[in-house]
Amino acid sequence: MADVAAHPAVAIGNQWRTAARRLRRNGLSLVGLVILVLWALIAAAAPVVAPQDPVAVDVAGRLQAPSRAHLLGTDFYGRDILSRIVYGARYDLAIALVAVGVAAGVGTPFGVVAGYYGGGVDDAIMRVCDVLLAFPSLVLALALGAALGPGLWKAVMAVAITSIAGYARLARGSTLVGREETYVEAARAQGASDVRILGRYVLPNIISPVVVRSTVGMGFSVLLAASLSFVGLGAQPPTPEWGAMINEGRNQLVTGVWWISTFPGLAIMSVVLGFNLLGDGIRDVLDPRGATRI
Amino acid sequence: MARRLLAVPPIFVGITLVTFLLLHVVPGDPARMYLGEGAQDPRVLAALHREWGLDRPLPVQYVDYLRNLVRGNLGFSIHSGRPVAEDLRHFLPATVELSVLSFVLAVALGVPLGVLSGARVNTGADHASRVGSLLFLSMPSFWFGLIVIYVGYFLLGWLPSPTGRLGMTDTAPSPVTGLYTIDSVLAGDPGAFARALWYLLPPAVTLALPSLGLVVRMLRTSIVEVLSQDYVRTARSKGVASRGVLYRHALRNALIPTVTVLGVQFGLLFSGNVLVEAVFSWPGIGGYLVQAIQWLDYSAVMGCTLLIAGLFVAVNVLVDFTYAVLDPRVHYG
Amino acid sequence: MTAQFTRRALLRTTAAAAGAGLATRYLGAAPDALAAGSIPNPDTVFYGVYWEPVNLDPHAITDWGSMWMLDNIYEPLVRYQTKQVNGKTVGTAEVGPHLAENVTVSKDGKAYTFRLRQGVKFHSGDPLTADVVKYSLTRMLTVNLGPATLISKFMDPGSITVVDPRTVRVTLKGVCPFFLELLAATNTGAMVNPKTVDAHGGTQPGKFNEWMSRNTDGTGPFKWGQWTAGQQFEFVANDQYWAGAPKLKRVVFRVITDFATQLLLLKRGELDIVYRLPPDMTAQLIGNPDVVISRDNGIGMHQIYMQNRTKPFDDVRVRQAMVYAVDPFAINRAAAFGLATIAQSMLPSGLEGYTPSLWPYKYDPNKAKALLAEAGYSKGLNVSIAFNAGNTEREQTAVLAQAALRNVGVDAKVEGIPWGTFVTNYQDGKMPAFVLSGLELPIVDNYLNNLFHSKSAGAKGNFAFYNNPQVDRLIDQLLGTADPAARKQIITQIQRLINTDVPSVPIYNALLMYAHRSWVKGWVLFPSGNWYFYPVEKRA
Repeated sequence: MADVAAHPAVAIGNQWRTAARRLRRNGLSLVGLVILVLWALIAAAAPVVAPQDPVAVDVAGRLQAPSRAHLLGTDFYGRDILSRIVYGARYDLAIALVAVGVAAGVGTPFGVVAGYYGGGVDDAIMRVCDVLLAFPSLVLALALGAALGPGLWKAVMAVAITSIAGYARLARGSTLVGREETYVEAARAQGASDVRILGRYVLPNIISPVVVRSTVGMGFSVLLAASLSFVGLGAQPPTPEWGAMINEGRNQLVTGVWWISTFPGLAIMSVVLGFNLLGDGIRDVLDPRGATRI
Repeated sequence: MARRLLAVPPIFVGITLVTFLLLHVVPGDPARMYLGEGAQDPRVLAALHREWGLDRPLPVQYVDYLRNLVRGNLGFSIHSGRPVAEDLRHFLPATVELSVLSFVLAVALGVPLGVLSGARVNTGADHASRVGSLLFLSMPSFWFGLIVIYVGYFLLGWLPSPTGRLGMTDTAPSPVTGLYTIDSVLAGDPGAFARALWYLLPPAVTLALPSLGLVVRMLRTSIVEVLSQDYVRTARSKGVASRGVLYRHALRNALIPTVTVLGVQFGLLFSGNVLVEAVFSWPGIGGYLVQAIQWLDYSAVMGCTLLIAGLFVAVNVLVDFTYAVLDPRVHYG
Repeated sequence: MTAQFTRRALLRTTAAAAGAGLATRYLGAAPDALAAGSIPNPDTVFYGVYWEPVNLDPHAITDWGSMWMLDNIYEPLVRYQTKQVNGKTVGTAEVGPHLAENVTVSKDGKAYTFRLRQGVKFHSGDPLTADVVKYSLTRMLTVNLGPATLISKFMDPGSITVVDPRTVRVTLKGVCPFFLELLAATNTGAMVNPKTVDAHGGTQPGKFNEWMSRNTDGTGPFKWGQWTAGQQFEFVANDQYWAGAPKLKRVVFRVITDFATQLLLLKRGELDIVYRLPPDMTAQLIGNPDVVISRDNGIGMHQIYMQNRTKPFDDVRVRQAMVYAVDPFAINRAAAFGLATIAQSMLPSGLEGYTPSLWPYKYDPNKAKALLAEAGYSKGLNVSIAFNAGNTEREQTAVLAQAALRNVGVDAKVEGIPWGTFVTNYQDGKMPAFVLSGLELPIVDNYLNNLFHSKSAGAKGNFAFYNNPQVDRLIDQLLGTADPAARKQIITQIQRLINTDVPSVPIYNALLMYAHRSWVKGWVLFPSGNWYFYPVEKRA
């Protein structure tokens, strides 16, 4: 009896240990991790790292090319772009965490419930998911963004809602697999409650695919939120969110003022790359069979 | 398969419902947009509300919309002043042309790169294509579009101006399909064909890169996986040349998951267009949709999302068919 | 009024305004696609616009762009005139005869007699007659959109008499000092062909004509050409024009929604003219020898509206504090590159009775703080300033005001709102503060009535929901006054009152700004915003 119950937990313990080892071996993923840790440090220490106030307007010193005084130049209002990118890291990392946190936090339980109980509940939840998944994400995010109104956190909610269905479907799939495992059958036969079965046997099954998806999803959320900011639905001035910064420099780009848009774009790229690289590594580790491939 | 198809109509009803609700949550009054900025006469406003049914309860408005939709009437666009169906017919070809070309580019470049990467795991070429494809996946495409315009057109002067489908003085080929590349061929005008393609290229490349990245990654993983499978090892041990193994066994099986991704990507290209079209002044559905959202142009937004989501769903169904053909083990109840 | 900037003059302006080095930076490194001297497509003007006409029915259009455009196709009886200043042709707000050869006004100021020009023909070939005039004016009153609602206070179809085939008399119900100005607008005064209109469904009250919304039949120097939705529309020369064929064969309007792209194409000579570039874009052309910038003060104010009915802006001290706290010169320098004319009245400078000497304010943050303290906000105040997302001039104004307000302890949140929501919100008074720069006809009665009369609160134009019974009374009084001296006195009184009440923070006169290649000659901008392609040609 004890043997059956202990089986998955022991396996998971081992799994994590091998996982860490495999992750360490995977050079590229390590690069991703380093990128993200660096950005996290920069974000945390923004007031120390940033040479200037990111929202201080200095019209006389505007549109300056990168120089020693302003390493990445200044924007239309004379604000220091390096400082804005440094502070922007706070927003863009927060976007990634919150959007994915909300999406996974809401989507996963729905998926588990659908997968575990099946029947009418499953049908209802999955039909809603089908509809949400029928929208290309940018279109749904734009429509949601328009409905919720402009603002950084509203845009983040729009991004989160857009991705809920994906997590629900993923969690449902993994729950279905888990539900059929022999040890779950055994536990059920012994009269374990639904809550206990879910918590003890089903959830551990879901965690790795959700973690894998979340890591890559964070990068995707940053891109989507930046798109909303680019059309004016996301972060509002003077918030130094990177997508909004690209938009701010767009009008100046054509006369040779390339630095306003270019640097925030590179920042976005590096963070998303970081999430993607890390996601790759985590996937190799937690899900070698590739069940969570996009 | 029949079951898969039966699921489609409810999804469409769901799409209309979601879009309709979202639109009506947006604070704002389309009638005022129609009358324009500045002084307005409240009586005229009230008359418009009556005429467009905006004074009636939401459920009634929704049922009316569905009723018109079934009759093929998508309504009237307040920001273009034309029937939405006419607008969609007008703007769709530009989007289709752009999506198809970027899809072709993504596949034509992505498949060889993916195969190369998968067949030579952990070589320099593999690392390069992996990192490259990840970079493509990681950049905001609207940003890359801006950089393409800045470097290619502004700095170097190599690329065509970002004026949409043609230059200032070019005339469009006489419309048959609405696709300039095809129409110019039908008209037997190689010059026009070259011009149309020339203008298509920068936005198409911009749009293709993320899909390209995805294709390379998918194919690489699948090929690595397939090459490690028993039957491939068996074939190898039986002395089948490794090139033969790669093409006869590995590629076909590796293509199965890739087709899924490709299908989804093709559907997504239609929406990925939204911002890239704006950056390149491309007169397609994307730009039309963004404007319609800003104008609270209810009918136009509904029409666009229905069309885009419809294409998306259709492509997905098609992918499922292809999947079944490629992999005989897959059956649909 | 119109200032055609030379390169040197502009260099001076900006160097003074924004510090040395700016102009050279803006010169950029872009190679012009075309060698100097060769003019591509000499008989076609390529005009970059960001909009498309929603409607071509001249009596039903309500947006400025379509109106100015259609004024090249349809013509009114009277129109704004040009004058010569230092050898240059500039547009004025003075109205003179156009399709009418002359206009006589009766002694009591109520009866206007129009003698029609001979040989005027519609594009379809039918001649302009007195019956056509009666038909057109009646149609405008029936459709009753735009300024027609104002003109219908003074006349109805019964006021129009056909005296003889070349003479029409309009007898007003009361004196209207700006009747001719009203008639000069496209959407009131355009002459339409009765045969064409009646052949395609006629006239319905409050509605445009379906056929007319897509087709035209006017008397103007240009005919409507091909229209490819989302891409371009065009004018084709009317060789039968009564004053002789225009110099241009075609005017091609290219629809390009991205200003940066428009600017790029102008710099490379692929566009000849660009429609109303935002100031930050225009400034990037300063110093470019191939480009001429035309600017004029529009009849409107670039201003920060405040919601006068609700806290905190229901307190006049808070509104005055905003005016003291925001330095219009700084915003002009930053957002308009010093190209604008600073507000020195609640009225824009082009209007009758405008008196800058009455303006009591100048930038004074301490006074702003004192007023805020007096109003009970010594510990600070939270407000929000909205703009319509995508409008860079308004966004920059909001961001700069935000920075200025921080200095007086006001924490302003800046919000970019999508266009549709923005319009509905300001008309319903749902936004505490927002940046707007609308345009009006060059008629002071119309301006005051729309922006400051409590009856116009909301959608009719008083977006601040300003309510001062004394001002209402004076505006009503002005509407019936014809004597110039009496009018001047009333306008001064009103100006004093609204200057004190400051329902909004005026920053600078709304800018009408166009940039064109220097090879485009004869292009003239009017204070009303109008532009005409008839005298335009392309030559070195």
